Amino acid sequence: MAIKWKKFSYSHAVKSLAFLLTVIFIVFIIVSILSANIFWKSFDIKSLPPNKFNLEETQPFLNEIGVLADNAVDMLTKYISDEAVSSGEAFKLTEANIWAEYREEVSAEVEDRRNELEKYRQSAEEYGDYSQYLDMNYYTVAADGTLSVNVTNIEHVLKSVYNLKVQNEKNNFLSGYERVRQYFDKVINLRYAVVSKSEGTVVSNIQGADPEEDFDSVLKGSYPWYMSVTGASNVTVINKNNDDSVFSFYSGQDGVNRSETDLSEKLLKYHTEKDFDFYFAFNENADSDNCIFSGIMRSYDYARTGYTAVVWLLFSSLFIFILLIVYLVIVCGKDGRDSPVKLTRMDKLPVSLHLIISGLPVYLIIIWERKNLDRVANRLSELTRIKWDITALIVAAISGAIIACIVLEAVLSTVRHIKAKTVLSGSLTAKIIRLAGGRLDREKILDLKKSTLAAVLVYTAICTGLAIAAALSSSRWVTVAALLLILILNLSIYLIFLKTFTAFNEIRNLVYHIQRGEFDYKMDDSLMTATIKGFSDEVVGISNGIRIAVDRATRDEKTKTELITNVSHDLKTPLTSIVNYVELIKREESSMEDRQKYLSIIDEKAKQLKRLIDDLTEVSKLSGGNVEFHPVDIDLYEFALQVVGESSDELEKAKIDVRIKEPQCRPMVFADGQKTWRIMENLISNVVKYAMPETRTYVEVSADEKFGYVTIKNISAASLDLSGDELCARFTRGDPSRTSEGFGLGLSIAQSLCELQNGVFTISVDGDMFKATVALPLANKK
Amino acid sequence: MSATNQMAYNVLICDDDVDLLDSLEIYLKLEGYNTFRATTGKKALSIVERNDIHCVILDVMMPETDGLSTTLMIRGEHNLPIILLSAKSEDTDKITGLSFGADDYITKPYNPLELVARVKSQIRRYTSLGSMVNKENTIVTGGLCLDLDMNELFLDGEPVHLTATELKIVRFLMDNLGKVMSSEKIYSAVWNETASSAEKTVTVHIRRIREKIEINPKEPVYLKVVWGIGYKMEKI
Repeated sequence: MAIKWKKFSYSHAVKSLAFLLTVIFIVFIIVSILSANIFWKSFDIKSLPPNKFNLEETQPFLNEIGVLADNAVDMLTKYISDEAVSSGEAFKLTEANIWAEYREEVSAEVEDRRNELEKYRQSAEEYGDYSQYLDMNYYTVAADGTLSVNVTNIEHVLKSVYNLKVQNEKNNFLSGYERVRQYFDKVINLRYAVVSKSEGTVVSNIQGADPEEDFDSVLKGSYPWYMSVTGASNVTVINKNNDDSVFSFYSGQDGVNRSETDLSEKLLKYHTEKDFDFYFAFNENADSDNCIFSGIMRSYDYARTGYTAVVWLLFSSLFIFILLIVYLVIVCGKDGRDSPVKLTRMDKLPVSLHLIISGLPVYLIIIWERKNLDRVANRLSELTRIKWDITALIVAAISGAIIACIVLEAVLSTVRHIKAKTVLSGSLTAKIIRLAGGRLDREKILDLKKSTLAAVLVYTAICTGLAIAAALSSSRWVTVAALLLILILNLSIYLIFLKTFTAFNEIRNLVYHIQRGEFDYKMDDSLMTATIKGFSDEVVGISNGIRIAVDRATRDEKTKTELITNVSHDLKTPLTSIVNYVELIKREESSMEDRQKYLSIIDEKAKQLKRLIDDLTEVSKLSGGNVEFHPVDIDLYEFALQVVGESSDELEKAKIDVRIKEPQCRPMVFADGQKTWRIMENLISNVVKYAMPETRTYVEVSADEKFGYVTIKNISAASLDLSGDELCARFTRGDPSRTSEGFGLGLSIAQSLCELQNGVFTISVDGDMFKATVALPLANKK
Repeated sequence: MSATNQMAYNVLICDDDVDLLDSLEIYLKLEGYNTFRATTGKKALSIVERNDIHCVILDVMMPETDGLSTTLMIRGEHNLPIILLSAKSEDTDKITGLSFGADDYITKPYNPLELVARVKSQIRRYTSLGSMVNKENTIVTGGLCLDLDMNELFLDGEPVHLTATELKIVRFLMDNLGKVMSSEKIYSAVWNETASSAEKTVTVHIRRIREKIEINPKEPVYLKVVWGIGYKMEKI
């Protein structure tokens, strides 16, 4: 069952349901907050939670008390009694008051004008005529030009005003009386007494009330609420149910709240000016339309329960909302617990763009609401006859739902991205840079020159700073300057890029030419930017390297070809001799003696051919790289001795006296003994052929830090007019005039064998002395 | 060259080049050998089966069965000496040939006199070797036998005339059979002095010894040079 539930819980239907519920609960949250706000405002609730606030702290209650007090005062002072009203006495009093007011105002006005005139007179001495600034309605100009206050005019003007007032009062007097009468008659949960101590009158609904009566004790216990204003600064409100909440108004002191001060000021004003004492006792729980505060109590109860309900709704919605959100976050993007995260089509948008695009309608809706909520709510309420409060909530709920949907979708999309780890890879930046191809590799970036990285960072920082300055600054100048700087910076970077790209292009040109074997192409170096310079130098280096290698290869090819051409020629020469002499032998005219002679020549030529062919084989093997060397540590002196020993036959025959000099040292070299012997063999045979007979040939062994050397020196039979290099070259190319023995390849072979062992083969010529040196790398000392 | 034996030995020559066969036959007959010819390995095998052959000269490059496989097949049944002929002169080829069971390997072009000398040497060894091996207090390598008691050197049963110094050198090298000894060591062992410039004499002596015991001193079989290190007596 658990598994089924898990599968089920990922299904599309459940997810959609959860989404819908989340939106609904968000709407609940919005609505409950707004309603709570309404309740707050309507009752001026200062504190939460609802069961703690007191009725006496609410504004409507205080307003109602104010109304009560006003009515009571009117009753006492204006209307006095039923008889006074019906007889017209009451109205006369009011009228008299009005005319008293009139007289006061007139005298006050006259006084003011007089003061003004005086001031004018004083300043006229200094500044001249000020009559143009005075309202001439209030002044008269005497025959002699002096100004005086026009009292009559003033009286006239004010009289008309007051006449109107009297008229007004007259019209409203009776209706006002009716209203107040009804107020007090109607009320059944109120017992009151308003005493005018100076007059000795009382207005009360207590049977047989007497001005002298102690209303305090009479009224105090009768109803739960009791209120009295009896002292100059003493307004007491007591709630019997709640003995603790004896609530005293002190006007102007003790940080009393404004609303309380208003009420207390009003009552105190009546009390002090008119010397009234107020006593009220009422029961706020009476449930009837005729109850004072009834409306308030009903709406208070309504509001209280409503408020409580709303707060419960808020918290429970919040709780369920959190559960739903957690569920959606866990479940979104996946089909099952272990399945991979799938992104929806909407998720193709990078996170940043998605949030911006979602934010826009949300922002617009919020702005629209601020301006138009009231208006729309009113229209709606007119159309549907639903209370304004409710329609406002409906409009808020609808727009809230829309916003919730958009925001929730955006949030879930972001969560999916986070789960799929595509926040960065799917971001706008990533998409843009993917357009350029390649990829970002952190290690390779860190390999870049630090100055390049720093330059990029500095540029970004400057641009960002300028952009922020431009956006936030209130000064137009700063904005323009910042934008201008950004433009300049970007233009310069753009141009730098152009420079770099042209430099790259130039390098590409070079490489293109190299590819086609054209090594002469020269790059325009002035195009190379600082960052590319090193790279371009290296490419040029490669090009040079290739050119050198190609040159060498071509040279080597030429040499080899020449070698082989010469050798084939060298082969033909002895062959021709053999053919010739064989013919001669075949001839009958040849004598035995001659035939012997011919035979020995043929023998010699045959041997020569054999040698040549052997040499040729060796050369081809060497050039083909098919030779294996097995180097070991060799005692060079021992080696030299052996060489001389093995060659002593030939050398004796050629009458050449070979001497080995005593070595200064006994160097050990790392070389292949057999192959090195071949080198020496060639050199020895060279000596045999070309050294002057009866001369001494010296063999020397020496060494330096890198190489061990074997040197052979001999005097040449014929004079040498060439340098050592030329001689070597000549021999390797097989100079026909000298190769009576087809010797050409020997030195070439010797040189190859030497170099292939990391050695150096040199020939030098000094007068008639011929010197050949074989250098081999020293063996490593272990 | 030493005197020919009383008995006429049988030598089989096998090569696909008929001219070569002809010329070889002449030389061998001059030396007093009976010759048999074959142009293919198969034929050579059948001759060996049917006759008492004392030495086979075999060319390596032949059509059908080549020289090396023929060597293997002959070796399977017989102990007679086989000399391989080839134009392939690489060391590797020689080693291959010898490891297939041949006793000797000669490269073309060769000196026919040398070839005949080798044949003689091989036959001598083949026929008289048995008597040599049993002797005590001898050092033997291939056809060389050093009698330690008599202080005499025999090559294929024939005594070799060496000078005292030469004999000392040979003895020293044969005491260290197969090991490479530098001229310095040889000198100090034989002359009993510390080597100075007199090592040069060692090479001279070596040369002389070679001339006496090697068929071709230029291509020694017994007394070999290890370049840069010294000389050794090959352990065959």
